[in-house]
Amino acid sequence: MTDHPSEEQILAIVIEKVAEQKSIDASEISIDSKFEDLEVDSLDAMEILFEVEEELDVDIPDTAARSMRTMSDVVEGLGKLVRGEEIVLPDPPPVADEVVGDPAGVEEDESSSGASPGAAAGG
Amino acid sequence: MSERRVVITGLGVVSALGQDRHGFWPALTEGRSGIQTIESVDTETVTFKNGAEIKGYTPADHLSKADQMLDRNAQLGLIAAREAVQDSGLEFTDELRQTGAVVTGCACGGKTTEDEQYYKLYALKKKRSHPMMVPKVMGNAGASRISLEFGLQGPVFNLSTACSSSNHAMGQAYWLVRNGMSDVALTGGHEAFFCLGNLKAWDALRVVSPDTCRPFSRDRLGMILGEGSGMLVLETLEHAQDRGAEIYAEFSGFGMTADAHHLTLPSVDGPARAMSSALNDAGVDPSAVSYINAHGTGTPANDPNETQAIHHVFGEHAAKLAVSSTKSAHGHALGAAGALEGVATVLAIKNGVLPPTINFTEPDPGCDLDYVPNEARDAQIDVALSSSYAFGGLNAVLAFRRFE
Repeated sequence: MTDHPSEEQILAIVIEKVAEQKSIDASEISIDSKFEDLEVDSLDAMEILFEVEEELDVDIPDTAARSMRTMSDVVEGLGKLVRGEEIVLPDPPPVADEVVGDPAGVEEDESSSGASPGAAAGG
Repeated sequence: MSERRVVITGLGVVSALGQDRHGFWPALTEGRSGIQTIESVDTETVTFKNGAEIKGYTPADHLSKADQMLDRNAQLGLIAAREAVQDSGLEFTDELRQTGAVVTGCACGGKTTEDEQYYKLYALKKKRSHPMMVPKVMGNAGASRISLEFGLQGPVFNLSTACSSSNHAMGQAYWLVRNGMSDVALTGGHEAFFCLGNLKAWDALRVVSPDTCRPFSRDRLGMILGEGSGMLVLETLEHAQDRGAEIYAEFSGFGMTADAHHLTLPSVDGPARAMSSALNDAGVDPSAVSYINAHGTGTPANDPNETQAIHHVFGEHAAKLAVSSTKSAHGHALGAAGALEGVATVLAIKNGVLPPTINFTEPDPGCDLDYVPNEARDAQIDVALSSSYAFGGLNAVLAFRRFE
């Protein structure tokens, strides 16, 4: 089990996908970047995660995807998935994320986090 | 609420005849056809090979990277809406935005996206769908994106009534402005559905011509599918005059009926009642009409049926009418058909020119009206109708009037 991509390799892939999605230079993105600072909104984040899932052939669980709001969240989570480990969430996701069909809840989440994929859909 | 007069002050159009209104009208009046070999789909297993596709369309030439993620149908709607607003010179104030309407016709939604994604799942055994799939394929994707573009927050919705979608949409938008619900409306339709799954579905119906579209002509063999978008800016006459806007024409009536007769076969009664209803709504006598932009699909069933319906409504005046089908040039864009034809009708009134029915070869005994065969003609048009008669027996007719 030594052929998993390293976190450095995963970081490079995620940086490439973010740069492509936002049409920005890869040099502007690092492991310390937050989605909010990169103006990655919830729909952008969903597309970025879709692209990395395709590239790495992993499935990011919905709850984990919702908690990913920084580059390090994503790289750390993907690192676990490629090693066959589970992603343990530090905090339960906000209640608003679970509400389907409530655009107000989505708006609130958008303004507070600016990024959480899965909070993008109000139904 | 008192009724207000409604005028058209902006036009936008993307079609096989060109990617803006400047390409559309000269092509129509010069009798050029947008019907060519289908290039976006491998038609090896499809009986027909020709369609009215928009050739040389590159999304990046028109749209931001984010908007290139829209399905093609919504891309076309957004491009046409931007052109129409720019053409109108309208500047949206907060007050206008509060009640501003967007009413679109789109019958097929994101068919090409669905076709592509389902192929990946079924044939390529991909594990996941693209996360933008749902918002991309929804029928109101165009209406919603146009609402966002201009900040319009009043009535915004899409109508899907097959080939009558755009006429139903434009009629609703007209009534919204006339009745005081909205002071300005963007309305029309957009459609793009060239994908193998959909072409095979049309193939199975046996209504698509193997060569070209010859409406009302004896040797017609069916319709030719097309794509595109037409958008119109509607506002009250008072608002348009206050800001000194150029007025293309007055939107003066709308009528709609259902056949309640057969799913795909047309009736004479339904279309006739829709035309009468539009004339009644406009408050004009049939004898005031000089031009009808016909549904004119070029199928064996539609054209004589529509001709009979016109005779029924207009009686002796039918012989004095000019009736043309511009589908012969821009194809049948289904949910966007009425929008393309609405733009054609408004330009015909404004320019005083009747766009021809092209590809016309010989008269049919069942189609005995003046179809403006092959060549445009100068004519003052005081009142014109634009008709759409959809599968499902849904009929929608618009009335426009010359504005002086």
